[in-house]
Amino acid sequence: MSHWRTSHWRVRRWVRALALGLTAALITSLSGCVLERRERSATPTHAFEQLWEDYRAYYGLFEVKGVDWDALHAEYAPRVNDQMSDAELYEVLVDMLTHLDDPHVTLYPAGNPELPTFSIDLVDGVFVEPPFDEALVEERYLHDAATPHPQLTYGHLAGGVGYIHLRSFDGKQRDYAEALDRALRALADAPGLVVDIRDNPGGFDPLAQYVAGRFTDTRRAYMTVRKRNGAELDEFGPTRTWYVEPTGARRFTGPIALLTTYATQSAGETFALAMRVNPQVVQVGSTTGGAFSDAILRETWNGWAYTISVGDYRAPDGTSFEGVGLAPDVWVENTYDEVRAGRDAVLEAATEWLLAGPP
Amino acid sequence: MLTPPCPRLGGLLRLGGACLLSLAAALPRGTALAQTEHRVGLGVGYSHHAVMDTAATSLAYDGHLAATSLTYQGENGRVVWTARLGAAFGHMQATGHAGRTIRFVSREVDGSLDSVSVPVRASTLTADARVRVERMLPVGRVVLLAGGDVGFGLTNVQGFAAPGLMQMLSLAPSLGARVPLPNRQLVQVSARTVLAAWVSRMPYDQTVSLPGQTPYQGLVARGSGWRSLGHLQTLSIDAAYQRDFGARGTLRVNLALGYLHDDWPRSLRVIDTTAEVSLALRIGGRS
Repeated sequence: MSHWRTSHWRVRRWVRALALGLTAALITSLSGCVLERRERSATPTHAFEQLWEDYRAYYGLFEVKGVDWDALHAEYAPRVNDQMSDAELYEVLVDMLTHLDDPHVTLYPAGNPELPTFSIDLVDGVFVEPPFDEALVEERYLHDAATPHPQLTYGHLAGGVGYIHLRSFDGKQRDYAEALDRALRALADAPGLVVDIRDNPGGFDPLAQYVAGRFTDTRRAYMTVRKRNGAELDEFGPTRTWYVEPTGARRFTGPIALLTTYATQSAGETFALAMRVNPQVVQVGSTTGGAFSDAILRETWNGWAYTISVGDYRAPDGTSFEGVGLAPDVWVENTYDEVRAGRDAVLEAATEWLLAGPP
Repeated sequence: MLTPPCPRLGGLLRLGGACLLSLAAALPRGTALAQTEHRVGLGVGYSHHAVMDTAATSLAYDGHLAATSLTYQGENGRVVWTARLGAAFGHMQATGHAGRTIRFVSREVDGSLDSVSVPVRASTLTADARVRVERMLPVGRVVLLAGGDVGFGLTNVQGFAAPGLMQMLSLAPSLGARVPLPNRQLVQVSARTVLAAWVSRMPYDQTVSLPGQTPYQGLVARGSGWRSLGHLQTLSIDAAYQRDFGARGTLRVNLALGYLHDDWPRSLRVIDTTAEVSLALRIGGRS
């Protein structure tokens, strides 16, 4: 009898454990089903409509670009059907998105390796780096290169001119502050400073604002920003004015040459806007990429992803440089052959300009 | 719907705390333990986290997370008070689109091609802290538990898409039942729902850049507000089996199911399922 009771308890215990496990498995699988039910509509038509609706609900530059998004739907929707291949759908989407002429608009056909990433600044999915080589700068032009932060290198050029290379504006402000303190302490006596953002793809605008504050002596407005705040095309949140003002313990407010290329984008460009309002700053190089706004990533039901510019960023006088970029005061371009041969003509021109003294 | 968060927060918490304390003070004497019993337990387990955040993406995301918790529980026969710290970590992927990658290709100055493939997934960290007080009401063999908790939950998602709730400070009443079993075992079931909460989610435009602000400050400034039942609905159900062993040990197995729906700036639904096993050190004893 006692043996029977023990066995009975063991069986009940196992039944309880099994029931608990089955309940957990059932709930887990149900939770997935409940949330994923909409994904079963991953047809080309639904994917197209989802992407089109997302841009309508979030894109902040229709007015700036002069694009009638509803009219584009009327033009492109008839080209989409549920029998078309991924490649055909991709072609329609690329044709439609090309109208936006926005480097921050990117289509990632994730999950289909046959199709390249699309953006207007890519060639068959490939981003062509500008003719700039940071290793060349450090090895040939800098006497005492130091990298106190992964995104920042500094040193002295010919004639004691200072040099700071800012690779991006990603990371913690505290870390940038420490690196900038070191760099600006070392470069305090320089007759002029080169700030190099030729390969800076951006990052976080408030960090760029903070760094720009290391090169200014007073508070100046440099940008206004408004962002989409609702599904209607004209729904924006409040317009905010951004100011550059002195930040940090050490600053450099002497003559500055700001080096740019088309690869200077996003927060790199808002940094350039902030620097350009300072009278002692001259922009040298070539025009920036023309992609200022914050961009968000969304996905459509077939698993493809795309980025959308959500803001309308302008200079304080109302000028938008989206799709246009910031043209330099002094136009100088490297050629790839020059860089491969060990020469950086842009850097040399900037150094000469700083040593000659401002006009 | 968004309102300045901070001035009302302290008041709500004080009100919630006062309610819990007055509930505890009003407890009847009856089945009091001769000695208050305390348990400090460490748990490990598995959590399935499923999210559909239409503000961030049209795809549902889900992931398998490793979970852990540290729990203190005290009870004296009239009141149970619990403090819990929990965390879970893992990756989420879009449901039905596992293994996606995005390829970045660049042509370098020397003409070579540089290619990087990055998986489209989101590393996910959830953390929560909760203090709960419950009154014990014996009804025959069953002990009913009525009380509430103040809790703080945080979800940090890093990836191409970052769906989900970011943080929530909440006040929630709870109801439960405990059934003592032979051999120092018990089974307990409880449910809670949030009545009011201060919630931070990414704002409509899904960005947090504000002049002079860190990303967290931007999130709090742009995406925070009070929610009540009209906009936020949650339900958490917790089932536990507990067995004391030896002089000082307690084994506890928990199965928890949580559902959340929030409607600002666009609909968010989250379903969490967690199974956890914990071992606790028992201090004090039964009458």
